[in-house]
Amino acid sequence: MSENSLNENDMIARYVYEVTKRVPQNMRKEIKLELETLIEDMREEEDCTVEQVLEKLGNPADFAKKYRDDSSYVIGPDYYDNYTWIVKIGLFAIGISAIVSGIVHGLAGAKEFKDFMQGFMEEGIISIVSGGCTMVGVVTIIFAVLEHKKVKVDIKPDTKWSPSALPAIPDKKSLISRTDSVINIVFIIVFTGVLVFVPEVFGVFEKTDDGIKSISCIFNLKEWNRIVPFVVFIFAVCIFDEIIKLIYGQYCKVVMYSSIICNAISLVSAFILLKYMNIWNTQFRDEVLSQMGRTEFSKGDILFYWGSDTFSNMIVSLIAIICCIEVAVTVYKTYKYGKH
Amino acid sequence: MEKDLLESLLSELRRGTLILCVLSQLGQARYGYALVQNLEEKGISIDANTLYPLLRRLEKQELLCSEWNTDEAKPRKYYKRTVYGDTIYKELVAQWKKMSKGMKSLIGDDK
Repeated sequence: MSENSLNENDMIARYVYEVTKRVPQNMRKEIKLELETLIEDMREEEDCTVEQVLEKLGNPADFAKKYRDDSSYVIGPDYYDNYTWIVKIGLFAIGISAIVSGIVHGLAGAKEFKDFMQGFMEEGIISIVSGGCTMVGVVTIIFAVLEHKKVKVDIKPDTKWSPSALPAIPDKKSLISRTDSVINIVFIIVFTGVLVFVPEVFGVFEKTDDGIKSISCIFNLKEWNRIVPFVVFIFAVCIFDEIIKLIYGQYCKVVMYSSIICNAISLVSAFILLKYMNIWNTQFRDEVLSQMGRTEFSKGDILFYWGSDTFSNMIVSLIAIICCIEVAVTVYKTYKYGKH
Repeated sequence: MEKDLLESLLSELRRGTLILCVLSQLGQARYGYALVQNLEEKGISIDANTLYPLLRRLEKQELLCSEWNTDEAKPRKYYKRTVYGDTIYKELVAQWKKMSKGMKSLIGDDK
């Protein structure tokens, strides 16, 4: 179907879509009805074509702006719904990792319930406050950047808008599931929270009379403060990618580029982190062995490879495969269903 | 350039009076496009893309209330002044009269 043969109903639907997608969610349904009736009325009363009516109504972006009382925002109404929503999800996720971190610290060296509660409260509160601030900060910066960037994106179509050049309403198959993005974001934040606040969870524990004691952690905790910012950076990149998907809600060029760039950045960062930053606790194998009263692991055990390059290589390869699959799926869906 | 400036000055001038125009006609319930035509008849032209958002804003400010009429083929949203809207409208009219008197003395009453 060429753009010229665009029938009038399609043109109306596209115009209405272009307006409503730019107004807050709760106004969309009403404005859609209102506009459809208005366009019909104008066509009948003023005896002209749909194209002329739409020309008269003007650029849908401008129209939508009037519905919004626009001015300058750090995070404007276009993004505000998504922003508050992601912050809420983020706080929920931080809450979970704070509880995990509180429990682990509470159990460490707790003889009585009182000790446990004290450890739990102290660590939990620290995790909630610092984790919450970091998360809100990261999300706000991401959205502020998007808001700022969007201005440029929106200016371009303004100059050559015409009713027959309205973009098509997206194919259902090109839509990206919000639930998937939300689950990914929650998972990323919880995982980051645990890595930052209670990395010892990834290790071996022993139950003693003094409560549960961490014997050995797979990570190099002595240098953890140096490693953590890097870890947070990688996950921030992943969250950025998910937020882009959430906002655009469909496969398109921006989502595709974001996916390629973010995956490339996280892959390279993960490679550096795993190969050159001494992330692993080299003593871990010996500490576990001595605890088990053995001297060596068999070749079938994953710990046999501990401390060697093979282990890091396996993880890097795994991450590389995941990144490649993710990018391949995104590129495929963008070209198959997405708007170009 | 000069024409653009005049255009923008005019639209600014109109914008100020628009709310009064709209409120004046909504003592009875009307839907958006009927209001456009109604104002047109009386020599006041207003674009639908200005009026529709404006109606919504006035409703949010509780000067207008609205009701969907879905009995006919096309669903329409009817707007009407609220009691609060009446009060504000009267106040605005009084102010307008005072202002136009002032304007007359400033720029004269051309015949």
